[in-house]
Amino acid sequence: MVSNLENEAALIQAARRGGLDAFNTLVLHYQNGVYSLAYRIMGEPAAAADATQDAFIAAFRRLDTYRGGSFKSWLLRIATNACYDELRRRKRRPIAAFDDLPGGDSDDGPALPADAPTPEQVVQQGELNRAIEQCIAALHADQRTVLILSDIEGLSYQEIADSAGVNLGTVKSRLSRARAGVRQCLRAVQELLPAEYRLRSNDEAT
Amino acid sequence: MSARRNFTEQDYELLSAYLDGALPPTERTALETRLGADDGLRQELEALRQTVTLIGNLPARTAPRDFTLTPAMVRPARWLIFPTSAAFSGVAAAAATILILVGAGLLFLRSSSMTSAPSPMQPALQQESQAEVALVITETALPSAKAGEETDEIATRSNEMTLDGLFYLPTTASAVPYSTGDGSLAESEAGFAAPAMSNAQEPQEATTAIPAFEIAAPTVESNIGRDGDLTMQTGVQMGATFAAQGTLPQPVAPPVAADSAAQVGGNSLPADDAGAGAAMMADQAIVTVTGTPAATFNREMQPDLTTTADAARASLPTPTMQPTATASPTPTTASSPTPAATQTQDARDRASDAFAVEPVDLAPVILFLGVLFLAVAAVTTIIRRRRR
Repeated sequence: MVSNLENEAALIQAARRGGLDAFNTLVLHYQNGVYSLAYRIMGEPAAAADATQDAFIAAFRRLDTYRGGSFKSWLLRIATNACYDELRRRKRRPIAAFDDLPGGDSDDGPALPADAPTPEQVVQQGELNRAIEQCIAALHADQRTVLILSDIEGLSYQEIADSAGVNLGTVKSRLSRARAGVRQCLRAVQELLPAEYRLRSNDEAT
Repeated sequence: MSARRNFTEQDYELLSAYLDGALPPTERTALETRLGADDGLRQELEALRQTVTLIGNLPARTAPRDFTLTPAMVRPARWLIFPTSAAFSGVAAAAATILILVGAGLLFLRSSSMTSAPSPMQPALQQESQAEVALVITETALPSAKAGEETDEIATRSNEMTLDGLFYLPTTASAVPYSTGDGSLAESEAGFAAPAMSNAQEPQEATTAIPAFEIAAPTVESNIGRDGDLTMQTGVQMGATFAAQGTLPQPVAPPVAADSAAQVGGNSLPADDAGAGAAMMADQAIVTVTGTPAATFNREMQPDLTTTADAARASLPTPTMQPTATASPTPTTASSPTPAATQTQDARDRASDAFAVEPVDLAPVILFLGVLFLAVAAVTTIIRRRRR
């Protein structure tokens, strides 16, 4: 995903005509991004792989619905839908916890995942990332998706709006809540974090 | 800390958008003014920025494998064996139309032929059955000797025979003209009789080989004519029993049985065209007994039984039987080589009757196929439209 394909448009055209090889070139180019998105949304590798494969299959079949613009955001939207389908299939309800942010009690962080990292684990970078991922996973699916598309996939608001099928205002609102939710979640475990990762806030005054 | 709690959801949205540089100039300026005056707000902004950075720094997940597609993955789901193209639907619809028309036509033919078919059979049947019974009695003693050995084979073959008779109805028809020829009768019989030989031995097992027997009944009569005792046995027995009991109706081919019965009545001959298979059976039976496959069939042989002569004709049409079985000459029964194959026109008539009968069987099948094609056309059309 880092670099754009020079001949992306040509590949898309060829794929539209049924060219599987051309489409597979696109797959290889975008599969990390799609899988990454799927992994963040799904929260586990196997489900993410399933959703990723489904997403590419769906994308190939729906190539005629691509009307130009960012192919990546179009692809991620399909991937997002594939993830939602997969979530539905697995009857895994995303944890919705932050709808009342940020007016709630600041001391009450969002419920931590059951397998919250222990202090010893959190000391390490890997564990910090794990904590962040768990905080993201704890978000409501709608917020989580927007957060991932924005802060991980680097899509613009407009692209996110296209991907999620919502308007710009909703994107901003959801993104704001998602970020605040993760921030609060991380603050709840900040004592476990190395000093350089601690979030600064006036809580320290208390 | 109290300051932080005063932040509203709108404040967070402003901060979030500000981080992304997504605020319009006026709002951005206003927010920056607030940030300059509010430490709490500024700290909150930094916390958010740090959070976003942490999230953005999460290690990228790399695909655990390639997700390239294979042709099998993108092949449209095919739970139908046939394509859903418009062309296919059209062809299916056309085929359905033709089949239904043909089927309906055959049905019509059948109904008309049914009405015209001769129906005064019953009295004749009774007479014949009695005659046959008598014959049977004589016969029974003879056939048993051989029959004992070959009963098993007979049973199995008889089944086959009946099946053949059913399936090959059309062929019988075509064969009919063959047999009708006066001079050619002897030849044709010989040829057909040979295969039947093995089956001829069935008489003993009337119960198992019932369908075959019914058919065989006519032939028996003809046998009687020539060989007297022996020939009579197999065919006569069967025919007599069935005719007397009225059990003639053959399970497999109802129409055929009906026709055969009708013919019998009219000609007073037990042997109808019933089934080619039946005829074959009869021929075979005769052959075995007499030991002279071809010769045995001759009508002339049956001086005693006038009725049987007709029956012999009836058996003639059976040519359908192919020469699978080689005639097994049985020494016990003296072969009476009187190849006087004079087939009357009755045989022809019967053959024609058989012709009329056949369409009856095919009509429902053709109609069913027509409906099937119609359904296929409809289903493919529906699926095609639903996809769009």
